[in-house]
Amino acid sequence: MTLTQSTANASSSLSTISEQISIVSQNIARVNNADATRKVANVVSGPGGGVSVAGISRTANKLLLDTYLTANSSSQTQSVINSALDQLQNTVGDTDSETSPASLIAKLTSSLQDYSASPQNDAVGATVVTAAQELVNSLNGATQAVTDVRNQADSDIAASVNDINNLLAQFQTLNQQVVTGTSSGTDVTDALDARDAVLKQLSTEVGIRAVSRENGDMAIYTDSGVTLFDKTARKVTFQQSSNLSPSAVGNPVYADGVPIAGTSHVMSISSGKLAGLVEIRDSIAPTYQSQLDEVARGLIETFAESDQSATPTLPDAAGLFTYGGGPTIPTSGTVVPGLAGSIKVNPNVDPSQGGDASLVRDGGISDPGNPAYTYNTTSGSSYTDRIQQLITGLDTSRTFDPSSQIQQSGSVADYAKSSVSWLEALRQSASNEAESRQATADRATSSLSQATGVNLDEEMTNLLSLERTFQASSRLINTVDSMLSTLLQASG
Amino acid sequence: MGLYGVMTTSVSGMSVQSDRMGTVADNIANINTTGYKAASTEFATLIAEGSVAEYVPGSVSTIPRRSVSQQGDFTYTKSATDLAVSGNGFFMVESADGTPYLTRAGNFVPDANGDLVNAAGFKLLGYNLLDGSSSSVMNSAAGLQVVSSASLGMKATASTSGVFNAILPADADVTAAADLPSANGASAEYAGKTSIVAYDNLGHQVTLDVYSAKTADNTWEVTVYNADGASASGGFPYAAGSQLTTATLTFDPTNGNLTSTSPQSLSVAIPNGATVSLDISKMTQLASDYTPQEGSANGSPPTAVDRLEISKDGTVTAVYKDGSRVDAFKIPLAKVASPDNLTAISGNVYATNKESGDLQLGTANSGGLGAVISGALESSTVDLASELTTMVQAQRNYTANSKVFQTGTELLDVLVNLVR
Repeated sequence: MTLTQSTANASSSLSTISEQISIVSQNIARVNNADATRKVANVVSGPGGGVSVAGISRTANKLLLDTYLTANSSSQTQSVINSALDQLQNTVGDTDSETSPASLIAKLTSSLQDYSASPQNDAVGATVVTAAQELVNSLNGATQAVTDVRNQADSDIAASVNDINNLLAQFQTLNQQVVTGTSSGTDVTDALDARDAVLKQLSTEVGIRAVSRENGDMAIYTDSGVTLFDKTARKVTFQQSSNLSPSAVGNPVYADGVPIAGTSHVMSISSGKLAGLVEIRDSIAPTYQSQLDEVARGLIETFAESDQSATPTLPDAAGLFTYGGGPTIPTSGTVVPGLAGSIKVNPNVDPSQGGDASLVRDGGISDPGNPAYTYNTTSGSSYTDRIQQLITGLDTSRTFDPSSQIQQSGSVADYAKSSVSWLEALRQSASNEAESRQATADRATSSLSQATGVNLDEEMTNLLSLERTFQASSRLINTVDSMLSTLLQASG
Repeated sequence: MGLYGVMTTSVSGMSVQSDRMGTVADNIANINTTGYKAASTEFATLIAEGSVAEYVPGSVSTIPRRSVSQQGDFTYTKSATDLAVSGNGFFMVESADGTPYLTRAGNFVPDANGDLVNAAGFKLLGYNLLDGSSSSVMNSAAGLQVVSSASLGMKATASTSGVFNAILPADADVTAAADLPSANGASAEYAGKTSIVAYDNLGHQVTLDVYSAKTADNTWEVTVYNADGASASGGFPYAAGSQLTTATLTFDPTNGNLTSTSPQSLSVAIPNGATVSLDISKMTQLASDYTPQEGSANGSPPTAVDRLEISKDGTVTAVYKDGSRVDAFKIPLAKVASPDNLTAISGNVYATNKESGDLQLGTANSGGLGAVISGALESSTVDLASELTTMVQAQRNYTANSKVFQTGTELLDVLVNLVR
């Protein structure tokens, strides 16, 4: 080996070290970036003894990444459900809250009892109507809240679908860079990091499974197996509804022409924000809505007036509480979608609308002109039979629609209470589930970052050893230089 | 006669030492010239015929040598078209006027025409593998073409083969015959759908929708549609003629694999494209959800050449932007019987001559020819230390010769003074 070659080798060492140091500096710069992986320069020695950087690799771990993607999707589903339930809970309140339908029914009962104690006092009669009005407001308000939650979920689904399409487009660009870079042997580690970051964001929106293929190519399927990306991004489509009335059903989400959420299908997704939003829009909120509707129907049924003639011929008619379709009484035991939204206090009995509050005592609210519905036939001012009948009616067991998922028989007051507890129980379990899934996701995050992230101690150690090698190589060049200068002196 | 002889001999001595100094100067000047082979000088005596009683000084002549066969060290570069030969062998290059030469200077870069040209302006020669237009001649540069990326335009590759491999859910509901995807009804039901991108002859993207539906226990129907014919909502019913193929698969209930009698591949005729042989032999039926494991087809959309890659055996591969590769040229290596006797010509190239022997072309990395190393250059073989040593020697020898000459002149002086 000649002196010239020794210098060349030392200089190849110097240039290799400077490349390695630049990689260490990149690693250190990204120490706080959760998506960055540790980069390593692959140093090889060539024939003749020089060294060169053959390529740059990164510490990736596909299995841990897959675990993270699954855990993240599943945690996102639950956290979306949890926050929607919180929103419902905040609007509707619990059993003890004064604004909940359950406690307002109790308030109505107590004002009826007060009225039965002093039936001749019209002012007390007016408090019954006021209590009824509050109850109606509460049911209307709750329906609005549920509708808002559903509309919010629907627009969030549209936003999520938009995000998914954007992420898939980004993924396509990055995947193209990775495939081209891998086959041409250039450094693709940054593109790989960016692509993994897109995958992580995608897993927030929808449950995914990523499959690696040759040349660094990757295909993405949903957790239910629908193709989202294979060489090109597939279209995810969704038609947002302008306003979801309680009886309306939201549109399904399609990916690659297959419904993945919104209608029951074998290829429906099970995790990600999208799955949670659809669950709220199509299952949780409508169920709660049907419970409110059943409370409203129970109230209309309880306060219905029957034909008091000796031989009743007329059908029962809506009394204190009526609705858009009044005075006909809705079919018993069958939910009427949106009833809680259209229930109102009969104007005939509401003093503020020119009605007469004493009709609560006397009956005939449904049609003050028709004597058939008047209970107090003698017009006695101390008549309390009808009031007593109403108080008993509120306690009487009734049949409710089984589709509302809570007890099928019981008094309206009990049913309203169970509805509140149903929501509370659901919220409680959703909150626990969300916490546990969040914990799993956090664990997956930390094991992924431990396995692939940048460790500052390790980088500093590398930096020291690189510095030493650099010094040694420079010393070699120095030595060769002084040898040659000795020789030059000898010849000069 | 004697004294004049001494003077002419010492003059020839000085002359060969200055020749030697010339090689040192040349070597040191070319210390960083890629592919330069160090020159050296050998000397031969020229004996003057004398008689027994008389010594007639002869003289010395220079025989320049170039150690062409000596391997230079490698310097690594970032350019894939920087080439070096590790071992015997030379690149074949041609000058601007088309004369073929041999060289070890592999610092090639593509010029405006896409031709690979080295620093001295010589173009690299190779066999064209794309059109097969170059004939391989063992002992001549005839049939070689300039290696160029110009002939490599955009290209699209039609898909010819693919893989589809999914786990089918064994517990799925049996689909009624009228609702099978193959019936193409609006109410079609299926247990799973995967779409695969394939390419037609012109590089258009053709998306294949592959539906799997259970027809009976352990029996599945796989149907492939062209997604172009899908309904507005992206699914059934497809336009007439969109169904590309359908097949019935039977699975072995003991292990969930395809039975041996079941089809192992599907022939999918792409419209205006090739027939894709879709390998489905790895399909399984298990008590799980529908899980696509692999779904891909070969082929590529129209892409341009991204860069050239050169392998050890001299194959020049065009790498397209989508990652596909096409072998475009083969760079042969040349050898001669006596490389040190090659005639050196300006630009680090050599020409064959009678002493060097005839040209022999062969494939790199075989038959005693060296390997082509991409991304490296062969440094000059000059060693500064030995050149300086040689220089000191030449200087001293020159001085000694001049002393002999001086002494000869002085003796002549003495002789001339005798006459006075």
